[in-house]
Amino acid sequence: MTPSRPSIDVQSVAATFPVSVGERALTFDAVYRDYLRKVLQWARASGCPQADLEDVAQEVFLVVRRRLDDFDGENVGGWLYRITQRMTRDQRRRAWFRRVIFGETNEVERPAQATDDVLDARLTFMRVTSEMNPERRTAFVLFEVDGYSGEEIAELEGVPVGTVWRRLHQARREFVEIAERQSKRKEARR
Amino acid sequence: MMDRLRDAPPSEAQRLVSAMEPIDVTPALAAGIRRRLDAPSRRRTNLRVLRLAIVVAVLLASAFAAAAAAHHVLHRAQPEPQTEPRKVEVAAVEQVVAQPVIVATTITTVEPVAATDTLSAPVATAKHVAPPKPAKASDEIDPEAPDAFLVIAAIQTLRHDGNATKADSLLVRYLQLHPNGALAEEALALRIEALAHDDDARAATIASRYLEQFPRGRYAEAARRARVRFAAP
Repeated sequence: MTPSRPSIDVQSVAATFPVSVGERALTFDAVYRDYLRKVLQWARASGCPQADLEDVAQEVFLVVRRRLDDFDGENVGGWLYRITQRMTRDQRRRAWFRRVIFGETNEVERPAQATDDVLDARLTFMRVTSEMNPERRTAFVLFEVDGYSGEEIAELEGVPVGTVWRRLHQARREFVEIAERQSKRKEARR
Repeated sequence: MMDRLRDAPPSEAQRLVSAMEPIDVTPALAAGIRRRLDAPSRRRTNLRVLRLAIVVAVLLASAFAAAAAAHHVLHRAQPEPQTEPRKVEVAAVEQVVAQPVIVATTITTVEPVAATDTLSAPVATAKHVAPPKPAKASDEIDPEAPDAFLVIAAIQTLRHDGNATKADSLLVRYLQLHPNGALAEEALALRIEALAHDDDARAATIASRYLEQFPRGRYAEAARRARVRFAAP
């Protein structure tokens, strides 16, 4: 008799940050349903351009589907987080290639209700965070934008909570400095 | 525990952070990504095609660069009758001077030709010019064959040393070995230049031979001028 597959407690996953597998079967559908939003958040926090988020999510879940049978089911969140970081890195590389070779730009999608000010602020936010240290940026975006707690970020990154707080402090300082620098540059161009 | 920036007093950082919205996964978005996931083969095929295209492009670029480099090397060996003799670096001269020794050995092995025979060979008159032997395929695809040094040495001898007779003998050797070789056109043109340098009337014959073989060649104009200049009265 073969041991039963690890499973996800869908209710608890929906309510809290899932890092371990529960009692029910770990199926692709369940992983997709429960983690799609988080994969998109992690990709954005890792510096994926807004326009490429869906592509990265697709790549991540392609890997999930291919490797789910070999996955030990121990830490779904951590496993997906690492895949997302890798895919985001690849995507950033491809985006750089497209930008350099084909002159494409990373546009921020304009939601129907967004005003010019909001759009401008979003664009500035993306530009500023793209210049930040990657570890600090991830902690900063997850904490400030997506509302993660320090403990959740620590578990994702596999670092002590104290390290996350330190990164957040440094990230805020770095964010303000880069924003000021970019603002001055922008004014100088006018 | 830290407060979040969006709850902090107004500042530029607070404004930028507040403009960002948490990720919102709508059913349409989830269904869209899922649809693409369920039909990934086309995307993978596209990626494969893209990778293949990049590999082909890189290979083509490499081949082009190699061809351009080879062309550049060969182009430097072209005769330029109007230009002043070039100044040659010592290292280059040493290299060229060293090469004919090796080449001469090779030629002796392949097809012994005495230098005096070459110089006195009746190539000067049209009736004595033998029809060119068909070149071996290897002659035409190997511009870096050792015999190419005959032509290079001839250029140096002609333009640096001013020894047109010796240059002509080297070119005759090259053309005997490779009448249709990769450098045959250059060798014939250089022969015209060498003979013209010594006011040798055979330049007209060689020019005619050049124009027969390369009626639209790069040096056709110079050959015509030489034929007119050295034509028999």
